[in-house]
Amino acid sequence: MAALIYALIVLCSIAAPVAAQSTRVEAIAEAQAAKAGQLDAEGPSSAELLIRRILISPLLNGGVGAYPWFGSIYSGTGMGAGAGYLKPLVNAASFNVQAGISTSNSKMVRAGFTAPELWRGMLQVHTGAQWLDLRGLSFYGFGQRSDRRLRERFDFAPKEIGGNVTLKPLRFVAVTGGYMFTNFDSHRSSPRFAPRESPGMDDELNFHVTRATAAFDWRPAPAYSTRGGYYRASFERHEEARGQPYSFNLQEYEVVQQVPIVREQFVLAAHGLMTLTTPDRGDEVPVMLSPILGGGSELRGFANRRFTDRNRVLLTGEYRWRPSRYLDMALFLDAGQVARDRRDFDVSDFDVAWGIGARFHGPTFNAFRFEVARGREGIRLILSGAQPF
Amino acid sequence: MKGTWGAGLGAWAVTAVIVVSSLTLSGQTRRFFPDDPIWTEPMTRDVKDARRYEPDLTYQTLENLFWRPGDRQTGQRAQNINTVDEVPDGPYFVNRAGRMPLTPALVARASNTSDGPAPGKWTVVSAKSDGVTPGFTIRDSANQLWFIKFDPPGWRGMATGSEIVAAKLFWAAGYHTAEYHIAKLVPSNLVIGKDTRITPPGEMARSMNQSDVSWLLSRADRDADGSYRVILSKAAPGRPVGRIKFSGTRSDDPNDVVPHEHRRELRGYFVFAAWLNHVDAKGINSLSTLINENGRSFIRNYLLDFGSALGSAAVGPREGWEGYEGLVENRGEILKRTLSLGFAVPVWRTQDYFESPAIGRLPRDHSKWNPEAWQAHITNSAFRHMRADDTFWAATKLAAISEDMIRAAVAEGQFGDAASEAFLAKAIIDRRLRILQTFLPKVNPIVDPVMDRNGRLSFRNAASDAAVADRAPGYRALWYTFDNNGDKATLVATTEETQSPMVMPPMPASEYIKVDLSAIGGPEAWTRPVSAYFRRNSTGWTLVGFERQP
Repeated sequence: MAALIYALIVLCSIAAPVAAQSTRVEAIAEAQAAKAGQLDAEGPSSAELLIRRILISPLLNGGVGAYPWFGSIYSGTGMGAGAGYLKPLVNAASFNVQAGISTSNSKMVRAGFTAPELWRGMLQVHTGAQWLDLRGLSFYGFGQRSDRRLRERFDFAPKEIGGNVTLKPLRFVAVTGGYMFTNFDSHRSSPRFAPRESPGMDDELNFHVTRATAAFDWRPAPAYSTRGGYYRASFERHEEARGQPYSFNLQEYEVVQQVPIVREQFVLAAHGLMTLTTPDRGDEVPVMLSPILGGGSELRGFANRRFTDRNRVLLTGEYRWRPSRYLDMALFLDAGQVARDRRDFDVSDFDVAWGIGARFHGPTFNAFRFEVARGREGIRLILSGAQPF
Repeated sequence: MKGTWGAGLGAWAVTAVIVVSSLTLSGQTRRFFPDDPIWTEPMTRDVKDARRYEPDLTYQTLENLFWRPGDRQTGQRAQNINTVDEVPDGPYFVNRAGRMPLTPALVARASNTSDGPAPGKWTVVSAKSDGVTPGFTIRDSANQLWFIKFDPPGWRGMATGSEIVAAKLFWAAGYHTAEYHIAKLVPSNLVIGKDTRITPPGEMARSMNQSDVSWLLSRADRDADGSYRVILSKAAPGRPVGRIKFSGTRSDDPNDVVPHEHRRELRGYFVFAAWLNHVDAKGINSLSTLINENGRSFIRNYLLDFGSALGSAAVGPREGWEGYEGLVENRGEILKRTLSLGFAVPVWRTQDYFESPAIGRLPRDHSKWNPEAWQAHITNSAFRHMRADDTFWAATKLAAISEDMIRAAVAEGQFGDAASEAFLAKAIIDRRLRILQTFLPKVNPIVDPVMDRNGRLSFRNAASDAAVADRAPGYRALWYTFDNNGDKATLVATTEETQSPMVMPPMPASEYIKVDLSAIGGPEAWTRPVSAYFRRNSTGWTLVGFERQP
């Protein structure tokens, strides 16, 4: 305000006639003298102070200290929210704890410790534990032709503790080995499927899980990128700790390839995912640990966890275009199948879904995704904070 | 800053001042003082208590993107110009190009007053650990403070060279810039100060140690012999008190009485930033310091940090969109691209680029570049208030920076790649030409009117002199006697000539005369007259006023 008044005085001094002074310098000096009597400390406006407070608040300060948490507690439990606390330690070590609750009343508490980096970050060690109380997960029975009207709900409460070691011998290569002990039980209030049709359900199970993963990732950023690829192969051994008949091996192979066109104005993206489980002789794979399809990232256009079986294959193709540096649009086509026996995979049996999506993102992360997908069972809306692959 | 939110409250007061001013001016005031035109901005008051204020970058960005601070009424004439439509030397700007005899050697030296840091060890007093590329603040053996920046790995010369070239050319244009040197850093020459602390990403602040230096250096481009090419900028004189604001005035500076969005040199900064693709032309890349000189204290404002200029984006080569789009794209453009399934492809995605580690990435061809469409990351208030006479003013400065001066500045970048250096110089020269072609003919380009004792009025046409427009077929002059005390002009005669000079017709005795000069033919803008005011003196006539656009 004062500036405007001074400006008008000066405007009158410089660009228009003035009478009271005898020189231009005197005329300007008069304006400066007027301002000299009304000086104030230079500093932030109330609006800037507000923004500064917001920036240092847990909402946006990068998660150092207490921070709010938003995300998914578990596939099929709806949107989750909660709080976390991150304590940075020396040499990139950190301690992080989170707790949250989802729209399905599922709950989560998890804690993790990332050890100091070794060998300039080539070796990373992480340990963690979590407790989940998952409500109302869906199970439609096994197979691609399961009847959606037969959906039953179950609660699932795993407790996990474990750790992993990641070696990054080369810039794009990561090899991870890990161990986890998990205990869980599950509960159905009104079972539709007999125990043999829903293995592991209503039982308390304990697993020793060992994992090995090799990944080759040359995307610029895992959480959002427009070029590069990601190839992964994982092997897991799930050993039921008390000798119950639910031990199995799991192999998973994943390929992501993104091909930018016209300097990334367009991106052709492809995703392939295959999960194969092999139960020990006479054993079954528990429902809650079986591969699934359906939901926001795996066969969009179908309900969360719509298809379950021992094996799954998912193929996705996307045509993405970029109207803005913060908005990507995509036309996508998903096709996938679950099968008890991997020899039963047949392209002609694949369920197909297609749709359109808008993804709001930053340079290295996906902030929000809104998609509409259509499958043979209808249209589904997808809201997510993560990119589909 | 407080005024940002008080505009509504102050409307009545502003109105009152306007009314009072109007009453004061009506009928009995004079347009010109004896000391007009002034060429130095008066700073008549000591700045006694200027506290350092570092604006928040996020706030500044949001403010300029969504709230648009400063005067709401655009289209106003710049308010810090003197009566001949020029910017006096002052806290932001010194008339160099076009007013002092610049030479390539002068441009190459620019603001440098030394040969660089004093010989001996460099003591690290702080380090930049949050950015992608590292930076150090050091003291040399003479206790002089310097800031060190590096090139990102794989781009030797790009950021450091681009910064030095841009700094030299901004200096030539007239802005205050720091002293810059390219140097070679040998890590063993760095000594960590005993009180030096660092806050590594994700860690707590602690004392800096040698492994921190090694870690920071690991993110910089390293030469085969283990040394690093660096750019050193000398700490600007005076005590830092903040950054340049592009709207309003500093509350603590009594000399700062013109809202910055109405300062011509800050509006014209757009043209120079466009020229050098200085997309990061924001307040945080500047510095205001409190200077004590000859017993007076005043604030001077420097442009700094040109690492994101020309083909460099500091941490890598310039991204294609930079210069073509702001930080947030135009909404209509987003909608068009969305609905077209992406087939409304922006030009920057399809044009050909020159790319090299030495200079980064630049469009290969600038012959069709449109400087009016150029965009900084953030369009500040001064840029928003820019008018055609402001861009013309900047273009005339640019016209005075010769191709040899540009080559001399580019040579100071020491890029070490002759082909890239030649391309960069050509790109800057070509962009300069496009600016002259765009902004000089856009208004009536008559400049430098001079009337000799015999009443011969000569002038130049800046556009045709720069060979960016044809000569006007002729010129028309409307001759007035001018009553300075009453600010009233009386038309006496009209004359026409095919070229300068024009001869003053018989005029009644008058201390002042006014001449409205326009082109006969040529672009439509040239037919709108400029007004020149002359005052009679003992030897003839002196130009005291010039108005290109009301």
